[in-house]
Amino acid sequence: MHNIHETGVPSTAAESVGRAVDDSVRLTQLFEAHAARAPDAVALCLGDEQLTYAELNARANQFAHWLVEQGAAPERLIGIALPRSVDAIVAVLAVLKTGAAYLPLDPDYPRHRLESMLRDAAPLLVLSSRDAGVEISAARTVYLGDADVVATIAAQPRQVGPAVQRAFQPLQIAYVLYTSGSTGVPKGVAITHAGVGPLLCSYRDRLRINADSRVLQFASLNFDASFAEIGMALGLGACLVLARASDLVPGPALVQTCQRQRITHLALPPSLLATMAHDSLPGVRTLVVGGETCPPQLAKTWSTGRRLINAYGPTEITVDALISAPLDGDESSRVPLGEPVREARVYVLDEALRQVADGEEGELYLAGPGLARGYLHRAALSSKRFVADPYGPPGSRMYRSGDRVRRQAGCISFVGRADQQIKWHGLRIEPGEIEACLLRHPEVAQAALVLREDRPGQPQLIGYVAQRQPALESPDEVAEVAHVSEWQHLHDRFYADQAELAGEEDFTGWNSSYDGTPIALEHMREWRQATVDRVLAMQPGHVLELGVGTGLVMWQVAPHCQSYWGTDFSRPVIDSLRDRVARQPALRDRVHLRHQPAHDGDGLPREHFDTIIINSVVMYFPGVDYLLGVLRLCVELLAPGGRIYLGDIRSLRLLRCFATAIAWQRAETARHSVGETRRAVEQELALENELLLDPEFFAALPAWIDGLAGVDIQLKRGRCHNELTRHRYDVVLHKRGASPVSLVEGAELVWSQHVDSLEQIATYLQSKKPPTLRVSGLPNARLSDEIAAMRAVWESGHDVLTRSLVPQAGIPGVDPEDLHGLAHRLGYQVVTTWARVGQDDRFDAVFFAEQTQALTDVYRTDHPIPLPPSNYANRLDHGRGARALAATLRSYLAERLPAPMIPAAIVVLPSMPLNANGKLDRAALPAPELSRQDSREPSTPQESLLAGLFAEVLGLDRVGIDDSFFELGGHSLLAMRLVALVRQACGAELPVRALFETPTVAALAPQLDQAPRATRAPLRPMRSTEQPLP
Amino acid sequence: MTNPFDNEEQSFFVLVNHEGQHSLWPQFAQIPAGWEPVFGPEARRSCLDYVEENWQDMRPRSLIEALASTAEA
Repeated sequence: MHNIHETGVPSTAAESVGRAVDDSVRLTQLFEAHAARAPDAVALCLGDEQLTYAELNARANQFAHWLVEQGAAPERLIGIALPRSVDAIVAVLAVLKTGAAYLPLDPDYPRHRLESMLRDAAPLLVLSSRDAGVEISAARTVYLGDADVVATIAAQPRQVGPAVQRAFQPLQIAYVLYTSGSTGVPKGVAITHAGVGPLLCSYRDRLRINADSRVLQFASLNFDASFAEIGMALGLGACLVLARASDLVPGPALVQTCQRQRITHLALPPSLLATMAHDSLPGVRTLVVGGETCPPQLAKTWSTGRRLINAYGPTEITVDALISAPLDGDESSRVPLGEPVREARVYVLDEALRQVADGEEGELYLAGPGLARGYLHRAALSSKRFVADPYGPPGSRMYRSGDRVRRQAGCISFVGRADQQIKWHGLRIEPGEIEACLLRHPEVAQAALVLREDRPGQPQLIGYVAQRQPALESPDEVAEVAHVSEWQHLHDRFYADQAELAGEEDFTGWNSSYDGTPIALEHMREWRQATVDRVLAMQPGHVLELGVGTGLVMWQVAPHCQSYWGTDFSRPVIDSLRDRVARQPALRDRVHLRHQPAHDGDGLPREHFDTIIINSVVMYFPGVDYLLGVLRLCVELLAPGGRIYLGDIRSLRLLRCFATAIAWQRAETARHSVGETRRAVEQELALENELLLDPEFFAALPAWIDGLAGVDIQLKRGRCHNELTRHRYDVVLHKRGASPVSLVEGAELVWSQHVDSLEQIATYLQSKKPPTLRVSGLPNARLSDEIAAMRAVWESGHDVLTRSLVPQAGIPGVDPEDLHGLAHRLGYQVVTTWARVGQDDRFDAVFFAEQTQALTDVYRTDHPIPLPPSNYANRLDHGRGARALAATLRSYLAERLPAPMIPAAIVVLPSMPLNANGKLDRAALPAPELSRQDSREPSTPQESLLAGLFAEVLGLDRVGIDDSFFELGGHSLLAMRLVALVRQACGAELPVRALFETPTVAALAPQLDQAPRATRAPLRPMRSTEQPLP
Repeated sequence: MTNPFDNEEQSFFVLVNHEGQHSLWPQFAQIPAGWEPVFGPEARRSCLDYVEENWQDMRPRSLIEALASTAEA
């Protein structure tokens, strides 16, 4: 009888794992044994794609041979920066086969963090894919999809060979995971092969894994839970099921994935499990919770009908040190962490390093083959965490976990943390790391991070900073970068939330500002058609679109162009577009998509494009200086004679009118007084955080930007009256080399002086046949109602506003589209543009006979010598005041730390409270004041219900109906919890997306009635009697 | 309650085992079998500096030897 080490092919899997306790087996040997024994068993599933053990093994072998050629060897690291994919699993297996160790690199991690990890770990190379969007300069990167790489790997032998099957030492590193470090520097934990065999034995016995099991790979590679999932499936002969990240969002997506893929084994952090409907995972026979403490109530809910098991292990251990027996739901106070896995030793010690008696509290120390070798290149740190074990074999070590526990009848229960470390969403967080990050911001003098539980059971990470007094060296620049990343954060969250970006007609997020409901589809279609028509009329050949978004314009325009480049600052957006473009052979070769912000010209060809599109994006820019920078870049990128199309510029002139219309709409429902409505308008104006511009800004551009030959400002086309046609306009800038026709000279008729009907205009055109005719000062029919509302709010004395009190507009107005009809009839062209300064609700129409698309001076400026640029825009105040700094810091952290480490709120204090010893007095830190004081009280049952649920989820006493869920500290996980509570409370299925789009109670409440019914439960006024609303 | 390994007031040893692995160790506790003191008793900071200075190759000695013999073979 040979042993495994010699043959690599034991007789049965159970036997192999049974014997693995001598730690002489590694995961890939077990996997190879299954491949030999049951080559046709399914090893891997992703959607409809399946790989058998034989196929997966062959691919891993080829990959391993190639890796050895690249230099892979024991004690070398190979970075893996791949999205969830078959390739990622093949890569993990292949790396392990060569004896090297893998280093997962989350493509979603901020670049700063990735680069610092790479500098520390110095991997041999990093495996990535072009669509992972990771640009790493600190290491050699190989893109797996590249044709030459694919070909080279495919040419490798499919059998394991001597080069790959090298002698292997159990103490070699298998993987390195970076984890939060208290000094602000993440530390790499080096895990060996020695603990893998015993761990898999424990999984087999306690989780009941066998060849029929289907294990979902839920954890990302950066969490050691993923090693457990891969190991328990591929090491034990079961099937590992992969899914795309969007199919793993807890809630309906995850439920569907589990059903479709017949998942039997699933591991989730408790906080995610808590967001799932309790009867939603009927097929899952074994559910493992871990990563953070499991509340007893959750254990009770989920232990019926399946095996619910708690697993515990810090990153410094090969995944799990403790695994519980099946929980029976009777855990009244504390859910047990579990009992030691095979060969693990567990001590509960007091401060003199003595073992405490059963039932007494002490600190948990872990020992055994699963212990990490230490922290990469961190000798001192390793020597104080991995210490001599007085109770184990001579010369052995133990890891002090920092967890306070109690042992009862062999079972360990968690009591608390011995240090500042925080468990949060299954992630281990050292407050010091977040504090250190905050302190690197130039405006922060002191920082502290605490996990507050101002409301029991609702812990929140809160950051406190004392502001540094001297101003920034370059406040504008910092603020602008922060602003862009703030929007980026919002976009990323929004898009990541969507299970699948819809097809070419994705108008998600296009909601009416008046009432928060989606803008009607036919309105959106008309809006898009107008934009597309306008662009196509320019006969574009080589197009660049900045802020390509979901491709609303691209899908329509690209088929008519030679090349179409698109950039967007949101990577999920670009990723999704790339996927869809790749499926369209006609577009594949001409569309080039890049993930970068608008001001970044990196990789874009100079003087190349004839048309640059910036549609519906400028309002998210942080200010006029940023916009000017982007436009200067565009001029560089344009070929001579090219043009920039700026679509959907929000009009500054009409801001008050727009805000009034919004407030009026709400006032109508709530029967607000004029005073309340006026305050609401002021608030709306103060909270406006998008960039709005006066048309004068664009008219003045040639004074600020070299190389422009003309400026063409036009109202939006469209029959529909909505905020898009009312308050937005389009601008075309011509680069030098074009010869646009100027419309400044010519005949002019002033409305209500010379003409007051369309017939009179027609008569004039027919009789005089002027080459150019401007009709100026036409009242804009699109704005009639809003102008009436303006008068009612600002000029009337009525105390209560209702529609009946609003006087009908005196002048019915002219619909700009009617002029287009008229011109068409008479063989003229016509364009419409804003009227002069001071005539905000009016527009000019210019008729001309010439057949041309290239125009300039459509809008007539009143400022021959322009004012400074900032005079033509609203002021976006960043870096001013505590609230702005808090927002800036959130973005700052978001660029540098993984999402779960971003505090729910950042409180800016004049100085930190200190105790008598001069140390930070944590108890004296104030609770964050999160509710907006001017936010209104609920007035309908739906609003009351939602406001109560908001408060419950956010752990606040009160939430007004105008408070934003996210400003109050909400995050994506809490959003899912809220959705689950809404479902429970009234049976309505509120899409998480809706919350991201319109995060206030006021906007969401009307949607409760329209939301699809989930199941059961009619609308209940309150949640439950045990927990009355405050 | 301060963990004995984090107590700045204490004196410590630096211990080394057969694998060349280093461990901080509080002076008050008995030195576990299989470990030798190589530095101390000294202040905690000095001990940690000693470790940083002297534990250069963090691979276990048995692994270093095994890898060397594989390479020769």
